Amino acid sequence: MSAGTLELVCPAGTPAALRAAVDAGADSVYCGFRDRTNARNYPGLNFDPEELAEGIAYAHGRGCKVLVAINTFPPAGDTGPWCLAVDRAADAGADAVILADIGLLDYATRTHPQLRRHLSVQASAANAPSIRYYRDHFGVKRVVLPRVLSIDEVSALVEETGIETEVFAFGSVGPMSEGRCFLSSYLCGVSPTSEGACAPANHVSYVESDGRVLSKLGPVTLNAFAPGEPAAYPTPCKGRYLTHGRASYLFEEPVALNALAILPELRAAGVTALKIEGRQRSRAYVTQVVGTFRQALDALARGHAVEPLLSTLRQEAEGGRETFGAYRKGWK
Amino acid sequence: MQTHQDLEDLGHALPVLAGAPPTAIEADGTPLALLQFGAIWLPRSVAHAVAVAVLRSVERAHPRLPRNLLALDPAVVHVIPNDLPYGFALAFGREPARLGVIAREAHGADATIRASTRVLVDLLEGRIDSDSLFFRRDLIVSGNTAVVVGLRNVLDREPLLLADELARVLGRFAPASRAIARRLNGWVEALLERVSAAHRVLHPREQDASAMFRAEIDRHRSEIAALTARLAQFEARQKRRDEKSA
Amino acid sequence: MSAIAPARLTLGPLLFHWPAAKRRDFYLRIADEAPVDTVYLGEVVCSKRESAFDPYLDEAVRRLQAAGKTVVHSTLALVTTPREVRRLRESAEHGLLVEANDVACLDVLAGAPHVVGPYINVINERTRDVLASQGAIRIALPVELPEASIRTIAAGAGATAIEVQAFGRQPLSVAMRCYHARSHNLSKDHCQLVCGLDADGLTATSMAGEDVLTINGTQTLSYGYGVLLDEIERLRESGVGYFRLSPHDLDMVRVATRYRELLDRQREPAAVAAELRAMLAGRPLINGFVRGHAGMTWS
Repeated sequence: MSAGTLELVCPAGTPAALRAAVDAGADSVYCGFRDRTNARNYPGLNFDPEELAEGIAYAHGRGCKVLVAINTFPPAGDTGPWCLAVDRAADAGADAVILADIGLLDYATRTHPQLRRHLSVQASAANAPSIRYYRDHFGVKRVVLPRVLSIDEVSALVEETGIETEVFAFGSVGPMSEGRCFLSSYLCGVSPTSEGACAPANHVSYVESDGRVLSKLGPVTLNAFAPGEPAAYPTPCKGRYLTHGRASYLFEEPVALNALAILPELRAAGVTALKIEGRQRSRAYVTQVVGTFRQALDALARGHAVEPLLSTLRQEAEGGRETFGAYRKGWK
Repeated sequence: MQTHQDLEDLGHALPVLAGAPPTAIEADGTPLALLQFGAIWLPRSVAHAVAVAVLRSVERAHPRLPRNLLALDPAVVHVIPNDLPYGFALAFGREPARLGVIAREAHGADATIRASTRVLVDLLEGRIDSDSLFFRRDLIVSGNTAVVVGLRNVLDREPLLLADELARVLGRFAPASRAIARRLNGWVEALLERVSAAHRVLHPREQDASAMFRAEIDRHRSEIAALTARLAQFEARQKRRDEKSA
Repeated sequence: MSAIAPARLTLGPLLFHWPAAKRRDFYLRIADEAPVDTVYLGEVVCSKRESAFDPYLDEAVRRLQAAGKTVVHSTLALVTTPREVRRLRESAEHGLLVEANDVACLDVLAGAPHVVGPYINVINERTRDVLASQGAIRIALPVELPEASIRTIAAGAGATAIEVQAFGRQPLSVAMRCYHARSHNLSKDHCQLVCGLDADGLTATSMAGEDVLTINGTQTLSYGYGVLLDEIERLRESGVGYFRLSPHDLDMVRVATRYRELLDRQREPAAVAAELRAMLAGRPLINGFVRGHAGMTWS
């Protein structure tokens, strides 16, 4: 990456999505193993070691890096699978591992000092001292910043810490401090932090009632959709709740983060990399979103405007609507 | 959870998938319309044979697919296209996968997917993202969502093209099938044209249009049945040859 | 049983935004009457509330210390602004033991002895050991952990003490957004501190009418009150030495007294449960997390 360009970091939930991302112009792809060691532990998703090796060969053959997310928190007495995942990523020739747990960072630092370490958004490092802590103790080279910061705050962090930063460019708006939200396990008993699945599908159900569709997580009704009303992910933070007798999206509306229009500002803030969320999305999404961001970054590099691309991704957006999230004032 | 045996019992196997072969070969035709007409006309035995053959052929062409399907928890998913008279049942997990044709209102699924045929084919072929469809409510999932998520993720790992898969099934009978497909396609095109012309004339009296439509269908029904029977004969002959050579 | 270390009772930081005078009275009564060994003071949820209690802080600290209680300064759970970082540094230099609730504290404290609060993910023994080597003398575990995990972490903790929350609504998430303000159609910047209207938080009810969550400014808590009762004896045996009561708008002296009696085996868990139920007037007790079930459940 030369100075002033933004690295496009893209999701790969499957080998097919990895190839789609590479072909669509990703600079890096991130992926995880088929188990609890990553935060998208959904059935049928992710890579076994053989698939990872093939994926890395495909990506490297086309000048693309592969980052392996091992970003859940190993439960007490069972840290072995997480350490093994770090070993396997190193053996497969991954360009970096994305970690969140302090104990696992310590393991990776001691066992694979040459393996580049990125700090996952699950570690929720949203200030300069936190970033320094991870940098100084575990040699973290890059921090994936939580989606709770404004562009000015991002800029100040880059300036103060001098570390590589990766920010979310497209995906969900996570209103909660990530990696330490227990809402899903409170409702259904499966811990996102250790099991790698928020609102796991086997605890989600949809029930038709009086012409409406109710989405439920465990026993709790998260939402009720009238016919034709845009739907949100069945996560607790995208549910509708009653306060003062009035129903509202108390935490966050069904809306997607799309930073396409503010790429120049993010570049000016000194951001290193843009993260596209969506390892749980299909390869069609990957092709569409990565391709659009590739076009935008290329346009930007040539000094052209990105405006013509702005409406391209609305159909991929949660709730069919887009926001700048915390990047712009007023969201909080 | 359903067992695979239960799926057998569900088998009021009604035709659907057999309407698809022309789609495969006449990619520039109107594959969705053909799928729909095929669903109405094709005999059950042909549909069943084609469904089974397609699934096995897909599994042979994508050897990781059966492995990944086996790794899922056992489940039965009903896929109910909004615009077809029937639906499909797919059983997978721990045992080899099975595909069958079911009545739209069949019970016994762990999860049910409802969408238009166009959306379902696009989904299968990885041209469209299921979450986007979900947000827009173009895809309705009921029952155990995990089952559908697992199936979606496993299918999305493979570069499937319905056209290729069907062409592969038809194998050396492709020329004969192509001929059938062209005939069917031609009829359907003409049919659709006439229907829409009638619709333009008679609108908003939709009932008259549909009566005319039905009459047209009746006139062609017997000829199509004959053609599909020929297709089945070809298949049976091919099967015997395969067995002999094996 | 004689090998078991004495169990300490602590009073966690007040999570809700009570008027300063009410807060002062609360702590003075705690100083005089509550059988707790340690009291955590400090704003955990929102920096906009932080200065409100400043005029009374020193008095509260003095009175609590005079009553023989250890005072620990709890810090914000989510630090983002330079002003919040500055405040963190001031806390570290205040002279009190600090409870670190954001990893930022670990950098600021630079190895000085401290408590790791429940908002830092200590989920396993590896993380415990790293933090212990960096000055953690006590680790208060996140509320999400099941009993087996708590016991595993406590069993090998050595000189580092382990603390768990034994009573109170359970913190489930922290955020940048203020949901209290949102529920009043206000922005966070112009929130008018409406979180102060609800002394035990604001109930969020599902679309089907179940009371499920409690909103406390930028924080989300359980609706039910998390309690450890039968588990306490087993947790003590595995090495858990500190049990935290999270303050509510209840007779906390009475709650503390019952828990002290429970720890001293002078009262049965069932009797304590019955009394707590009566005090909570219909709001449920929950213990799902420690039992390894959905957190909101009771068994």
